[in-house]
Amino acid sequence: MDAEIARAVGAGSSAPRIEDARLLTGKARYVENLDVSGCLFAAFLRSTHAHACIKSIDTTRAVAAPGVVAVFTGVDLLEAGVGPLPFHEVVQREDGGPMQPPARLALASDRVRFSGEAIALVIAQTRRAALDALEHIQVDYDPLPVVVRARMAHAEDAPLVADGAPRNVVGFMRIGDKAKTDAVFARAAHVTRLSLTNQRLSASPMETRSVIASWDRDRNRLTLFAGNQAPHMAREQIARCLGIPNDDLRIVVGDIGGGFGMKLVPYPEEVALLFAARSLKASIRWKADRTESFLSDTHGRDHDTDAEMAFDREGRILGVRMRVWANMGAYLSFFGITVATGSGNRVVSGVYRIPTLDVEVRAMLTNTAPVGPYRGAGRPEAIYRLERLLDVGAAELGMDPVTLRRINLITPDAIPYLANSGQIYESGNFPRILDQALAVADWAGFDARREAARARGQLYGGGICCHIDTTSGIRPFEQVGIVANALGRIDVFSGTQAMGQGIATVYASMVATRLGIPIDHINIVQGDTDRVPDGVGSYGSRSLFIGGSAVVQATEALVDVLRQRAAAVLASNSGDLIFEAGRFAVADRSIGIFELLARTGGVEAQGRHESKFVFPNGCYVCEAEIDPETGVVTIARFSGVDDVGTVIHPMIVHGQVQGSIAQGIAQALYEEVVYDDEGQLLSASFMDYALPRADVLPRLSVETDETSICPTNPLGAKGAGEAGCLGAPPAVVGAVMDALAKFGVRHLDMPLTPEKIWRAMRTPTPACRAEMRS
Amino acid sequence: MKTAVSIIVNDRRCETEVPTTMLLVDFLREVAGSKGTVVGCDTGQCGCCTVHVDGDAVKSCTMLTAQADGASILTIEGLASADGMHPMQRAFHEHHALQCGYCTAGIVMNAVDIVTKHHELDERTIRRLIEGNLCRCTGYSNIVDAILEAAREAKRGA
Ligand code: FES
Ligand code: FES
Repeated sequence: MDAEIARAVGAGSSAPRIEDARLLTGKARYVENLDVSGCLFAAFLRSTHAHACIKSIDTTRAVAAPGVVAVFTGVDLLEAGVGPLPFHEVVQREDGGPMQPPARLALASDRVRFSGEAIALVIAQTRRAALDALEHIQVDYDPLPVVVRARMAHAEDAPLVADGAPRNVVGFMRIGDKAKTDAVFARAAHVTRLSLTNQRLSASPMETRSVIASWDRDRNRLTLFAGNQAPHMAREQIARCLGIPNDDLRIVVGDIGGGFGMKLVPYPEEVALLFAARSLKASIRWKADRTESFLSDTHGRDHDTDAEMAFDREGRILGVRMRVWANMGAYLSFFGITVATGSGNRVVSGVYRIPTLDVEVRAMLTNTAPVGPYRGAGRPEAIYRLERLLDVGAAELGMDPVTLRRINLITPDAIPYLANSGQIYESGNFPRILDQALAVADWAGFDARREAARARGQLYGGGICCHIDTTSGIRPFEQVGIVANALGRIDVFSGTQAMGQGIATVYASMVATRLGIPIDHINIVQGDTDRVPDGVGSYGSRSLFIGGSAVVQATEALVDVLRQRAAAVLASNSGDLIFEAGRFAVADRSIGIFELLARTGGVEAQGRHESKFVFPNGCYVCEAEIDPETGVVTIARFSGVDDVGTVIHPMIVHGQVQGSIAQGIAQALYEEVVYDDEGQLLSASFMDYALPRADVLPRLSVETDETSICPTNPLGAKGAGEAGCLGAPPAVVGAVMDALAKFGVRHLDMPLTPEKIWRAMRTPTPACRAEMRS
Repeated sequence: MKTAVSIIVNDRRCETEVPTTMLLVDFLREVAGSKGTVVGCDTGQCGCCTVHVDGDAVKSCTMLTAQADGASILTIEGLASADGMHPMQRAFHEHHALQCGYCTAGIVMNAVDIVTKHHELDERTIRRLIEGNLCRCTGYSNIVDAILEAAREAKRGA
């Protein structure tokens, strides 16, 4: 990385957000606000059964209902040749054969596999009419047995979700060295064992999925208006389903009211609505209501794990063994399996030296909604397993959890470090980050605070987490075009996608600062597959370090062309020109960019950046207080340090850190998608799914450290969007378990609800009973 | 069934007939064209749809249009004045109190109501009073800071 480049694009200064003016005044361009005239309205009939054969669907009465234009079922789509939604073929079956997940059709035709799966689509003149007509569709179901939990789905006698997945294992991956790990475990001084669940979550952006599918009469093609995080990728996948060339589908994204990974993959509803728009030559609107969103959005996490860590006498880690059952839901969403077998495993050994490991991941089908990427996507699960093992290990070894971590950290002299996941940690100084986090947290004052809390009759504990993220994801490149016109307007075209994170502000301020011109000359163009020729999208915290690096390359290319022109105008050598504050100068002659553009005409330039995986990391410290009467947890302090490489826009980075930590705390304490044993979703509204509110979330004190900048991109950035979801859950759970230590409780699964804690305090474990007797 | 209503939305009178079952939020979006008010949950849980009805913050998805007959309604579009954004909007901008913006209209409208009605505001009170508004992006601290700032400004101006 080039410190000069980071400086030239204004790293460290926070330009005011250019998105705010429209978002604050009610002029946001969310899909529901887009003015597409003459729209029809859609409603989906969804399965009430978690697993059933569909014997028949009778739509006659619905078709005749007032205001109804058409009713479509799965058979209509199949007959028209609409294919299943694609999935990412990253691994194989356990027997080595190709994966054979059940076909995920836009509308289920003969079998439903989860409650909420779309079966029929009603198109009507009004939303009300469409919803009312749903009541008139009759479906005859033949119920089948149901399985909900990943671990249970692996049982010999578990109901089978699909034929192509023996024992419900749809995909399998192994990393590490089993024989070596077995040998290490056999001679270890101590082995810590833990069975844990990383519970299922819902991304729950405040804007639910919202779509307009539209037939363009003039050009005989389709337009999809949708809040998709990766429009080019979505276009390719949806076009494939519909059996049309990419050019026959345009995707337009306005403002997105939050995505968090959930809006990365294409959805069955989008395919069905586009099919209907094409059949009817019409424009159709649909927006999920909140319950539909809980039922049919891809969920996140949901891993059951048997985890083991072997230590020597001093507490040094000798090896790790993991058996993971990753719940895929009933079908593979595009990146569903990638989360379980890809991104998490790149940080499977965390920031620690782990000489050998043996990890098996089974991707399990169950009768639940498909999972997909959700902020962190696989890494929170991986980090949580390790950090819980270290906490429980420390208790068993009688060691201080900080010391146990410290002696196992990868040291800076070993960086770049080839981890046994096969990944190279390109930069980082983990002990330094740990020390700094302890300083920010005033860890030295912890005992006094604990005493003070105890004096008030409260339980008090501290927890720590050293996390490492891996950013980028698949398709690790971005392409950026810059067009400067003679009037001084500069358009920047990027395939990354704004979704609230403020990336347009960051790009615009980088370009404006580098060119030395006011930011209002810069126009960031995203979210339109017609206008942006190529690109990938926003996920895996990649928009800055990949997308922004491409912006840098394109801007430099632009400056080069302008320099040539300025040299000609000023009758000088381009090498002699100094470019500063928007002017090219040599001796006493100079010319500003705007004059240059006006005199010599518009310019186009391109930039591209391709990147390996990059590894942001950090350390969080949490102190939690528990009311022993109620089991309610209050986060007393939350502190830490994140190494995200160069901080280009501090305000936005801190916004990302705060938002992701909030979601991480929410996983630790509040949120859980709950299905009952029949596969009925119990957490289908904000009454039952506990998104945290302002009165329960703490103020954070988290800093950034920029001493280990990333060597593999011109900005030195690593990505800042997700670390909070990795680091916060173990830190919070660690703090709560520490507070509960005297009850002999070593581990409780998230979310740590007051009820769970209250019960744990009143159900002494055998070890605790022995302690109380002595 | 239809009901005749006469409602003032941001100083503009709207006299029309609406279905008796029409929610106020749908009236605001579809009849009055105030699309800054959005729906995040349909069950009164999120606060995205908050507007002022005769000066009080109300979740407009929990009220029928007919119940607002004769009322004067202020939405996010009506908050700014000719000389620019309302101090609350400015404070949100300055404190990075919004990311995706979907919760913003509702929280800003609630916050304006809070600051108008409370003369002493501290962080705890604000957190309690905005507890009816969900935000998935920010973690709330910047929102609290923005409201504290706007409250200070209102006090200075008073
Ligand atoms: S939409 Fe009104 S409270 Fe959620
Ligand atoms: S800013 Fe996105 S929900 Fe609040």
